[in-house]
Amino acid sequence: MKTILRQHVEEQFAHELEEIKKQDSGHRPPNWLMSPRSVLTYIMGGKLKNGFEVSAKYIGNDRLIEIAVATLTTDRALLLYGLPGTAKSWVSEHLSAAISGDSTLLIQGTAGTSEDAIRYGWNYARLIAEGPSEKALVETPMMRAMQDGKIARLEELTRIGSDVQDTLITILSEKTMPIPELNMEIQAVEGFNVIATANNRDKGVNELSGALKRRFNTVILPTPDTVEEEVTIVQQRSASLAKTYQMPAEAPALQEIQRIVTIFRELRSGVSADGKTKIKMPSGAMSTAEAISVVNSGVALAAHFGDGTLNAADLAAGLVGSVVKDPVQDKLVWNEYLETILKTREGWKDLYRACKEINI
Amino acid sequence: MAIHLLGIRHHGVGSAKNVRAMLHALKPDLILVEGPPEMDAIVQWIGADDLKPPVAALCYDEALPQRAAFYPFSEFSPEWQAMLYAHQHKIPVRMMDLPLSIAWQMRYAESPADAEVTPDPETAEAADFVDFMPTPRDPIAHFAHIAGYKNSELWWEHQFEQQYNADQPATHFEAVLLMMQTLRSAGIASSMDAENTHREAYMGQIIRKAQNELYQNIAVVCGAWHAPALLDLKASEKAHAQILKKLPKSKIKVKATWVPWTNNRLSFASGYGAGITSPGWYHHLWEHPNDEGQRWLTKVAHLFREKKMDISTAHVIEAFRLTESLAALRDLPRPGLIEMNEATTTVMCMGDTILLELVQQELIVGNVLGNVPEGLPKLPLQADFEDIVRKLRIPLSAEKKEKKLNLRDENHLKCSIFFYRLQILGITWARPISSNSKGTFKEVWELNWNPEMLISLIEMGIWGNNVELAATNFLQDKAKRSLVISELSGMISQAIPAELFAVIEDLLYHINQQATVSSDIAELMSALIPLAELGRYGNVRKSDLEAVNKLIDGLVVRISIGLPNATYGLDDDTAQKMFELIRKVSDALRILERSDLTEQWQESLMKIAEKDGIPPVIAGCTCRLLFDAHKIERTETARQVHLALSYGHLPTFSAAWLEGFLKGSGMILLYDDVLWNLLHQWIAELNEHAFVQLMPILRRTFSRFETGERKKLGEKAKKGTILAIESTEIDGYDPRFNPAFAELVLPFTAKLLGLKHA
Repeated sequence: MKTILRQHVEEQFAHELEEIKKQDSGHRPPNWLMSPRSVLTYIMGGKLKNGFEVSAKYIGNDRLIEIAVATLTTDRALLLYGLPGTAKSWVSEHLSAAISGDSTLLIQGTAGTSEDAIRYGWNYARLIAEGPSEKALVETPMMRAMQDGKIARLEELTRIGSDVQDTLITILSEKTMPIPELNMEIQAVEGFNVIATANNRDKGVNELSGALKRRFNTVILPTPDTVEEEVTIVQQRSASLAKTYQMPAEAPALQEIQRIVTIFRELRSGVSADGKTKIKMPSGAMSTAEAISVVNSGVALAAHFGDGTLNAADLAAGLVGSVVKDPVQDKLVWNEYLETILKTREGWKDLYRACKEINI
Repeated sequence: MAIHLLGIRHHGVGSAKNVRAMLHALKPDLILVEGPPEMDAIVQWIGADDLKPPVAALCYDEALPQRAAFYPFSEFSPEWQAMLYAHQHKIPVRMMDLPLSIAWQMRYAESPADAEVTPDPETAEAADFVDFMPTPRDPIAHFAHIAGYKNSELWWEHQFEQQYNADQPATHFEAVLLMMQTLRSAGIASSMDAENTHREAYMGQIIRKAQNELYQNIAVVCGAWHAPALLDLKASEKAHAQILKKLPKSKIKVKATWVPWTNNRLSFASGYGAGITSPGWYHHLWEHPNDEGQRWLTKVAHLFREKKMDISTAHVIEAFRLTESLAALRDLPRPGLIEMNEATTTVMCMGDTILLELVQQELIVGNVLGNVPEGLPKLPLQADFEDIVRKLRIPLSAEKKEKKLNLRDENHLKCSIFFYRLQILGITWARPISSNSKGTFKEVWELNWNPEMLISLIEMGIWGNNVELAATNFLQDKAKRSLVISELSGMISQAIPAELFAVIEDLLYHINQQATVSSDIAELMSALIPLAELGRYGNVRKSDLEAVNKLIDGLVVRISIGLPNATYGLDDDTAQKMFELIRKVSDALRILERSDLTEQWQESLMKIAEKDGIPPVIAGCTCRLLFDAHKIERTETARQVHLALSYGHLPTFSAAWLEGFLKGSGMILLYDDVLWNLLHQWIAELNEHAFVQLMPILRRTFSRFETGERKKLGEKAKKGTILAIESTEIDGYDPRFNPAFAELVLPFTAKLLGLKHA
């Protein structure tokens, strides 16, 4: 039997969603599957009235998620903004799963995304054979979301060209999508809204126009506040991935995760953990998502080529790769960091040696 | 005989509204308000037209003004409203707390009150503010915790401040009282229990006294935490009497007055723990009790528009709707400041919190300045300040004005001294601006009075009763805490023109202490410069001069030994700084005219000249200084210049060297043709690229010369290379010079300059 590699979150967390819906007594906005407060519980985790434990999907400031949920109850769309790897898509996926029970109405923004991908396309064979008709229309996820009153997701909004971005304005302000070819329009059903995500520090992004900006409420998702928070995130995510890939390895030791998170935070902030030493910053974003992938690749190495326990040597390969993105600049930064910070740290000798062995 | 306890939160808008409504319902014949009884003398001023909050009651020890406490009030302070009610309805109001005289007597019992008490405004005032802080936070946290709040402040806000119901102030106060009673009977301790016992005993005493005076309907406005202790006065009478018996007798005379205050000082932002972070927001709530956020968000939008940001009405509408949904999501009766800020960030600022700081500063805290009437009793320092200002006839005006001072005029000299003293106290009414004319007799100051400076002055009142004393004490204290020599020597430069000679002795001592352990030559050099200036002031007492000279001796020895090493291997910026210092020290030593010191200094310079690896600008400067002092021969100097300008060096090196060599005066180029030819040749040989690159550096060097010199240099440049080199012998005396003739003019010159000819 084939198993799906990555299930949609509404399937993966189906039992949690089901239980929350059963216990939910709050007021539901039209076409929402649960009340806003329950959405919040689903994302931030907590205990239901009957003692059912809901796992935390987002670890961080709950006020931000409150603003996000509150925004979706108004007629403004939500824009999740932030550095790469700050759980924007993750939050957007879970929000739409909880609100509409469907996280699949997704449009991926790229430099090549055309208006057709956002509004509607044509089935040209049919168009030529029968002329313009509703049957010849190719629906987009946006159109379907409008018709069904669900949440449409738009990933990487700022990667889409500015002219194409602006097709969203009518959809967001008038809540309709005109189809002049058929002299008709699609009017959004209650419950429709859009969650977009965007990067604010990336190459080749297109700034949103003022008109479009005004249609979005913006929530900036920050990098985790504290080491503890970030360690929890990395631990949780790497454990769930190890389960998916059925790794024959032990769960990574907390201590190793703490070391990786510390290194990432130091390089991200440019200051050593004790706040005493200035550190040069590499060109990469050093996001939490990358820390997770370093741990994961370490676990994979340990499972298939090592003794099954994650150790410094397994981590080093992924670590160096994620720091040194630019072979000249970052190499200097990394070597300086190795010699001034890692080397002097008590009990980190193994990691230092393992990193030194990888010649870059 | 009814006593009504109104437990409040200091500066709580909700409390203020409830107090006002409750008083109107009760119609009391006496109001007692928490606060030191010393304030009774100034409570009568409340209601006067000119007394506009935010203001603070300042209580201070008449003999030792460094013992002071500020009690700030805003329009929406419940205490203020209670006192205002009393004024409007013409009923007596009394303050009720432990008198400050006794509190201070107890606090300073270990260290007897003498002049040695160091004023430490940070801790002394902080402690007094704690007295006045809202009900102790920690106990309330128990309730907040049960209700699921992390922040007890927020819980109180939601529970008691926002749930305002105009019809039922009585229910409100009952609830507060019940809550506090529960906490106190559960034995939950507050952080200030020890002091509270005395205070509450005294409060009880004051209420009993009022009862004995046959007042029938007494309203008591006090911090919520105290209310339960004042509930059963009969039962507590004996216990209170016993506590009061043990209190010390106090001879401290406490005076009180009103001083203007600012919103900023009401908030935590400035470090004063008066208890509220958002006076501007509270003030808004007080003025517009029915605003659900529209009005506030409109204010925010207006502010953004003033700063040229495009915020439309639609933004305000959307932001308002978001606050509503947030409040609904959080089960709040109405959106609070947190929701307003979040909506502002999300809708108006693209999620960015930086712009919110503007709102924080302008609206949430707000730039409001209080006002106090003219006839109020004044703080001694303030009175002294105003007295001096009147005598010197300088108007306190907000308009920017320049004032030119001629220090030979006695009145102008007094002005200058006064301005310098104010500078020390951090009052920036007068700022020195550089004067265009030469000479040390003239000073130009820019005057710009701002009412907030009065508050700074009042705060400085703890340092002394007049400007001179306050400046002296303040500087002395600063010196005690400073470990940096350049800072200490900077203080000397401040103290000299302010004529605070008592401090100078202290400063010298501290500099000496620090200089012994310091290894930073640059620091020592910068310390030496103001010290050398000290000698120029004739009115320094003899003993001071001796101490100064001793210190200078030590510093010069240390600098001379350390300088050669300190000039080695510096980067451009540090080299430039060091170069300036070397020049300044040289000038300073010239002023001192002490041959022993000059010799040491020049020996040190010789060592630099012999070293390699010295930055060019310093090398050039050393060469020039030694040449001017006749320490190296003219031919040697010419060789050095030739070497520095030779082809092997980078053009930038040569230019830097020249900058060091020529800094200050180009005279040498005018009278020495050999040097002139070297320079002329060097410039002529530069290629275009190098010339363009060097232009700024050379211009920097030459533009500092005096106009006459530059003109002559230009004329000389027209001639190009000087072929026939004349007058090679410019050193030494002209054989025709007759000193006897020259001395004849000295007496008259001295008369012209106002000097006594010895």
